[in-house]
Amino acid sequence: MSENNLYPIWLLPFAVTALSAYAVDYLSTAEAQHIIFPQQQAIFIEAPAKLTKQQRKQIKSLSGVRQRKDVQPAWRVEDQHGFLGWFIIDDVVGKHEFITYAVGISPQGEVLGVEIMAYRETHGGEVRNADWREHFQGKTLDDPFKLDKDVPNISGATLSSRNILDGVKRLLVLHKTVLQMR
Amino acid sequence: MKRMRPLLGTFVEISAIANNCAPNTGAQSMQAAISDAFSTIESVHALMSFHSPDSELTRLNLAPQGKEIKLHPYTLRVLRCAASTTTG
Repeated sequence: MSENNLYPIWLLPFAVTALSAYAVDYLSTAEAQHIIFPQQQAIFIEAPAKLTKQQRKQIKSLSGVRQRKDVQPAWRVEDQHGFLGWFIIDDVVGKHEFITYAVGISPQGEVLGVEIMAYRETHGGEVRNADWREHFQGKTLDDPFKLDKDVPNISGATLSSRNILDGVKRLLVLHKTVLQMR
Repeated sequence: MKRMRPLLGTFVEISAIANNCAPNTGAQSMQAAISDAFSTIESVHALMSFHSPDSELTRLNLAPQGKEIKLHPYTLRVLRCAASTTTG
């Protein structure tokens, strides 16, 4: 903040944009791996799923969600007793958020865990944005005050948490149609 | 340290901080504490999700009027709290 004060005034809009950006890194790949697969001796063998156009089409038609990536980062997880499952990293573009998350899938196709690895707001500056605030001008308690009707809804958390559930559904299909076939 | 999972129809963030009484709390036991906290939230989610077809709340909603249903203390507490803030 104090550093920004040193910038000439014409730079101010950029400074505001930078301040409103919000990012949290929760877990590294290794941390997420060991939380979802807590087995002491677990080893993670990098095995990205390279998908053909045909496979991506099939994933979309079975899950109802578009498979954007043609290479899905994935790890085969094993320990001294054998195969433990798959660890997959994916991301979701919400309304205003870009979220990276990890999923563990058992050999039988059950979800072992979902952890958010990083959460970044791609927008979020709207509240500071005069255009958006204008929707409130002249409103009183007597006015009907419906989100999305009277004031455009700028919250994305509900939407993007639903997107993650759709993403997990898509990865379960990817597991069934691609990874389990290996 | 902080972790986040998609639960309760939104994002739930839980953080753990080693306090003065136990400054040497290791990363592993802090992760374990966060995991325990998440499993409690997950059980609340499983009991009271109204989207889930097999949550306790859905079972209560589908039950015929007058039928007695055993509820988890968590669910009872939330319903009592909701009732106490409702007028009429």
